[in-house]
Amino acid sequence: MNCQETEPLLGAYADGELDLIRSLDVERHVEECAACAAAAESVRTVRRAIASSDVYAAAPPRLVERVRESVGLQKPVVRRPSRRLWSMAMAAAVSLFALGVGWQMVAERSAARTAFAHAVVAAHVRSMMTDHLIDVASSDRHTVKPWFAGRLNFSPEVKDLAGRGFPLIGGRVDYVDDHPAAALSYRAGAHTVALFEWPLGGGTSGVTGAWTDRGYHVRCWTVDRMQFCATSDAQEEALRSFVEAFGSMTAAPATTNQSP
Amino acid sequence: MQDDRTARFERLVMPHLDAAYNLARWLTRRPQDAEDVAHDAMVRAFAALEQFRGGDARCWLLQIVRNCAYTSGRRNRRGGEPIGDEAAELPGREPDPAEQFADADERAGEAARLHAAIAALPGEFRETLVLREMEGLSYQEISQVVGVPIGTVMSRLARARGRLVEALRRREADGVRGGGR
Repeated sequence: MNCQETEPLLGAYADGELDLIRSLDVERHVEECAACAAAAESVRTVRRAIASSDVYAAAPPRLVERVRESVGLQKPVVRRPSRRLWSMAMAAAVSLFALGVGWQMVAERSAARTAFAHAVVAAHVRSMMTDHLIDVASSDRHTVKPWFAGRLNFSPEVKDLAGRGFPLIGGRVDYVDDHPAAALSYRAGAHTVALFEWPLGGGTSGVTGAWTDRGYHVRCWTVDRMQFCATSDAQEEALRSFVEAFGSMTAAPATTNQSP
Repeated sequence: MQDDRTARFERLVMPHLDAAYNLARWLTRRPQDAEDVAHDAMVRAFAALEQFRGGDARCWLLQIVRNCAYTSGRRNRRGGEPIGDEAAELPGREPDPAEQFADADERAGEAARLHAAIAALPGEFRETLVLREMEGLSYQEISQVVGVPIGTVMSRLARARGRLVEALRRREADGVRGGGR
């Protein structure tokens, strides 16, 4: 292939939209042609810029309420975390007004948080699409936890939750929201729960909240300067149980039965 | 049967409200218009839920959002120009001293530049870029939502990206000349 043939296909190539044969042809040409390689790279640059910025606008809570009311949906009980966040946001907005900064910052922080939740879901979905859920397959945390040594510069929390109905499947390393992260996989019935963990750098307070993004539920919390994000396409109740189980379990599993 | 429909709507369509709002935001001129468009689209989707026979609920919903945005645009405009040819009024990002990130000013500057560059794109380029880069739709799905052949999707995307890269280079140069922030 020459530049003239390749050039119109570069966008589709960078988007993964070309069939295998043409994609290989383009790749061969791009390996030899700096100009076309640069053009393909600029597509990825635009993608990264958009993905890493806060330009994605998430629905403000008042819109969510308005829609739910219009279609006759009750206020869901499990929305409690979001409502607490909403009233915290209100309080923050009032004090921000006093500083003369304005309402927009609150809305944009909300957008940033939703983009964060989306990044978590994207990492999980990617791993499932490429069939790459785990690199160390073991239900034994004494095998999984040390596996991360030398692969991450922190030691992740790996808990045995089989007694609570969430057996450990294994782990891998992933990269979420610009953080190298431990990605643990747990089974929840017919579904998988992905738990991402990474340490919080100095100055950042991490993200806490609950979202639903493209059919996946996400719950994030921080403990002892570690960020935890759990996501699954299981029922929201199941994910909530998982998070509770993880939070209540000390690293060594109790030998007596605990009531859920 | 109302309960069944409501339950089905909550399960299939509500999860895509963010996507609906985001697309509406980039197709309209003011945040309030975006909220109204997203809300109207959701209500229309609810009314038409029986017609949705499975497949991608998000694509189906985004088609409705787009129709609502263009209808409301025509209503609000006398001149009859297609909506979105003028840059949408989108919130600028002022650097925030209360921001927790250490490199707040720089990130705010970059995001603001990107924001403005996307907003300045002509409507058909902007919507294609938003559907591709923010919603992750495939060319086939974009073609379905926008109602044009895949070839047109590809060319609009290429031109949108080209303009964006140009605009970002220009704004970056301006920022440096102006002393940066």
